Parts: sequence; C-alpha cells; structure tokens
Amino acid sequence: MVALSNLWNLVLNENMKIYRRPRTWIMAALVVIAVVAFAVLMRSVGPGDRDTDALQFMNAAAAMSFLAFIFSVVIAADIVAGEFTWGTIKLLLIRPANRSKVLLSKYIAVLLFMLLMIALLFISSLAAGFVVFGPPQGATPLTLGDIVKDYGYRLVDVLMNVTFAFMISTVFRSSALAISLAFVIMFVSGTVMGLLISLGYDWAKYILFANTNLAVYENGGKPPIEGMTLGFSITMLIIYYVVFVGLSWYIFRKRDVAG
Amino acid sequence: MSQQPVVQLRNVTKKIGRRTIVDRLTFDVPKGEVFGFLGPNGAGKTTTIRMMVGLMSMTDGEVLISGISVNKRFEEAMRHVGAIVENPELYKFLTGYQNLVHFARMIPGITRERIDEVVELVKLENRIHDKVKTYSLGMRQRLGVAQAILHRPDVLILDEPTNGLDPEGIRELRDYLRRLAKEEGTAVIVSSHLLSEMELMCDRVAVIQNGKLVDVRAIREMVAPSEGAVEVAITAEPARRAAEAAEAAMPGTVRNVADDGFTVSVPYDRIPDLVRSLVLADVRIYGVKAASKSLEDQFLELTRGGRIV
Repeated sequence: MVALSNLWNLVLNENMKIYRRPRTWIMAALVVIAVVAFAVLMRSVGPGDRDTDALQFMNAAAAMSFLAFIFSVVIAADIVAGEFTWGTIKLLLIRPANRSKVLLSKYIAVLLFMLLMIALLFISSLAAGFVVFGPPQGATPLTLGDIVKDYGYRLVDVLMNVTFAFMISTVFRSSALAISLAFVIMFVSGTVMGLLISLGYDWAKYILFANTNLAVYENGGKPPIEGMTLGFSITMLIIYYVVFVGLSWYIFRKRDVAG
Repeated sequence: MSQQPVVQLRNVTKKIGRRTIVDRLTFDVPKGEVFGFLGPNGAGKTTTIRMMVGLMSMTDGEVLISGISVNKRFEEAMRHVGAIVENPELYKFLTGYQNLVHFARMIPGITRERIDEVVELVKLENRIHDKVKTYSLGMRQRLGVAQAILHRPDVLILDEPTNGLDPEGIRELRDYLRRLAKEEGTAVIVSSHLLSEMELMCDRVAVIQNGKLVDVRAIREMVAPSEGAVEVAITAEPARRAAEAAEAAMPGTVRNVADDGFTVSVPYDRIPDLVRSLVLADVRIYGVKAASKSLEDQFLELTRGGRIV
C-alpha cells in the first residue's frame, strides 16, 4: 500500500508537470477547435445531403485522432528528455524513489494524457455531432459500437507510437532531438513502408509500422503484405512493445547522470 | 560509545573505459561538520558527489549514509540526504511552492507545515507563489536549499554552491550552512575549486587531484601553521624606530624596511611577543598582518607535488 501511494504521488507530480504548462492546454483546445471547425465546415460546404447525422459525423471526425496522436507523441518524447534538458533530472533521481518507479510514473502519466486526448476527441465530436447535425435518424447502419471499435484500433496505433516516442525520450537526453526524431521516424515510416511493399520485400512485414493498423484485418480485409494475419500482427506488436519498454527501463536504470 | 560518521566513503572508485576518474576515495564526515571537497576542475569532485547521491554508479567501493549503503538500499539512504548537484535547476514553469510540493511528495512524511517552515527559513515567503522563471539566481539558490532540507536530512551535499552567486548571496549561504551544521547537527559537504570560499565555510577540507585523495586537513591547521616562519607585515610610525625595536627583540628577522612599515619573518606563536616589543617601544602601530602562507599556496603545493605530466 505504501509503495502504491508512493507511486501515485509520483504520478501526481508528473501530471502537475504536464498540466501546469500552457502548451498542454493549447493542445487540448486545438483538438476541440479542430472538431468544431470540421463540423461547421462539413455542414456548410459538405455534400448537400441532409442525411448526415451525429454518428456519421463522429465516424468522419475520428480521422482527427491524428491530433491526439501528435500531441501524445510530443508529451511522450518530452517527458524524460525534458528533465535532462532542464537539468531537473538531478533533483528528481536523488529522492527515496528508485528509478524504475520514477520511469513508471512518467509512463503512466503519458498514457493518461493519451487517453485524455482520445476521450476529448470522442466527447467533443459526439457533442459537436449532436449540436450541428442532430441525433442519428437510422439512415445508416452505423452504430456507436462501430465508432468505439474504430477508436480502439486507433488507440493501438497511438499506444505503439507513444511507447516508441517514450523510448526515444529515454535514450536521447535532449527533448528537441527526441521530439523531432520521433516525428521524423513516424512520418517517414509511412512512405518507406509503401515503398518497401511496392518493391515486394517480404521482410517489411516485420517492421512495426506494417502492423500498427489492425483495422485492415476486419471483415476479411487485405493486409499490407500477403501472408500477414491478425495473430501475426498482434504478436509483432507485443514483441515491439516489450522491446521498447524493456529498453527504456534498462537504459534509464543504468544511465549515469552526468553533465 | 563512539558516534558513527554520517557519511562514509570506502574505496570509492569510478572508471570510465580505461580511465580512472575517481580512485579509491576513503573518508568520513561526522555530524555537524562542514566538510569541503577541494580540487581543480576535472579532479573528480562532481563525479564523487554524483556517486554519493546515486546519480552515477560506482565501479567499486561503497558509500554509507548514516550507516546505510547507497548502492544496496538506495531509497532508505536517500531519506537522509539532501543535495543540490551543480546549479539548482528547478521547474521554471512551476511556482516555487509547486516545486517544493513536487519534491515533498517524493519523500514520505512531509507536511504542509514543514513546507511553510522551510519557505520561511530561506526567506522566500513573498515570492514563493511566483513562477520560478521570474526568480533571480540568488532566489533560485535559496529555493534549491529549501528543497534539499525539506526532510531534515542528516547530510546536505552541495556541489559548487556559490557558482554564479553574488557576494551577498555567497555570504548568506555560508552563514546559513554554518548555522545548519551547528544548530541542527547536519553534516554539510561542499565542493568547490575556490579556496577563499572554503576557508570561510569549512571545518575540514579534503584535497583531491586526478581522482585521488591528496590530503584531508582541518582549516585551522592550514591557516595557522604549526611550524616554519610566517611573514608578518607591520605598518607603524615611525617605521625606523619600530624596526629597530623589532630587531632588538628578535634579531635577524626584520626585512624590507620602508617609510610606512616593514616585514618580519617569525614563527606564528612569536607574533604576540613581537607586538608587545613594539608597544613597549612606544611606536604607533597601524597594522599587523600575518601573511601566513595562504591556503592557496598550500593548495598549490599539495596539488603540484602529485602532478605527473
């Protein structure tokens, strides 16, 4: 119990360091603004059919999850490297809390932020959908369950990338470097994956970014590379996850804090 | 019953690659002592301090804080340590108070009252709810001290604490550290490459060079050498008559007679006799300054001896 309250205190600290910064609130505001702007835009210049309802809007607005994705990655890439950049790591690690606990608290805070961003997107698009387009009229077979499932797939993608950014953050001690590196890798990965697939390299299926979109397997869908299955992708994701987390822990525990 | 030293270093060694940064350091710091850690830049001071607080791993050896091994029981040992490693780098986007709450949460048993008490102690009451980015360096240093003493540690470790402080700030810090050692019995370890500062602040200094302990000495011994002559500069009027009186009292010691004074080379414990002879000669004495071999000279002597280039 003592250990748990101890850990919770550390999470409170990490939360304080996230939510006491203006940029966090700017990020949250941007998510809401983007959703509202999207709703207004879709209403005024969208396809003229009056059948668009709240659920259809939510379905479309789920694409805005890229914002939640970007912001979560920023927080994840910054949360460890930032302490090194500020020099505060020296005060953080000389407390009666071992390094594993400190790192775990940071990871938990990142996950909470990620969930918050996703929840914010979900709730604001639900609200905007109802206000701008009105309640669903049963014109489409779409249900709220479908949308939640869609969010679930996106969450897996975000989770993997956030964990990857978190690892980058522990490896590189500069937050600027960690954030830009995380983004460069993530954005270039799409193009590189497309290239590798079009060139027919079979081993490309072992790359993380070939497996992060589990939605392709739904309803007998076609995977990016022939022969990939849902089981294969989940196995790959678990392997990558364990490697990312393991590497972060190992490096953070062993690192000499110098300079 | 002999009292256990608060800090014990036993053969502490750090090797990076094939280079030995810190080489088998062993020393103790008792309760209530201000202990200086002196050495030129790159001698291994900061590395040693970082090993003491667990920021760096040791290649060999052990550090005990109140008898608890930092290597083996880190969390317990750290309950007794307060430290500022280099500049007190705090969260600039938080207020001073939020910073203290942050660090208080990491240590069991710190109440709000204790935080307020510490804030008062470092005289930050008026600014504690302002963001740290608006603080002057002196205020940040005080906030740094506040976070380090929140849990009433047995030992306070400060790495180059006066870096970037103005004379006023240095003086304040020095007085505060001395008081803490005297009144609360806290052991204080201070590293510096500035000798004059150590002279004013510390009870004992350890001199290290190239990662090796060269010497541990009490400051008193260094300032008042027990053997050899010291140069004493006398300012007196009339200088000639005073010089004659000094020469009569201690033949062969007077040098450099000038219009306003002269210097005498005598053993430290003969200085009072010298002064008495001058008073008896009825000259007007304006100044008697024992230019004892300065700490700096001694330090250079110590460190030069061991240097193999």
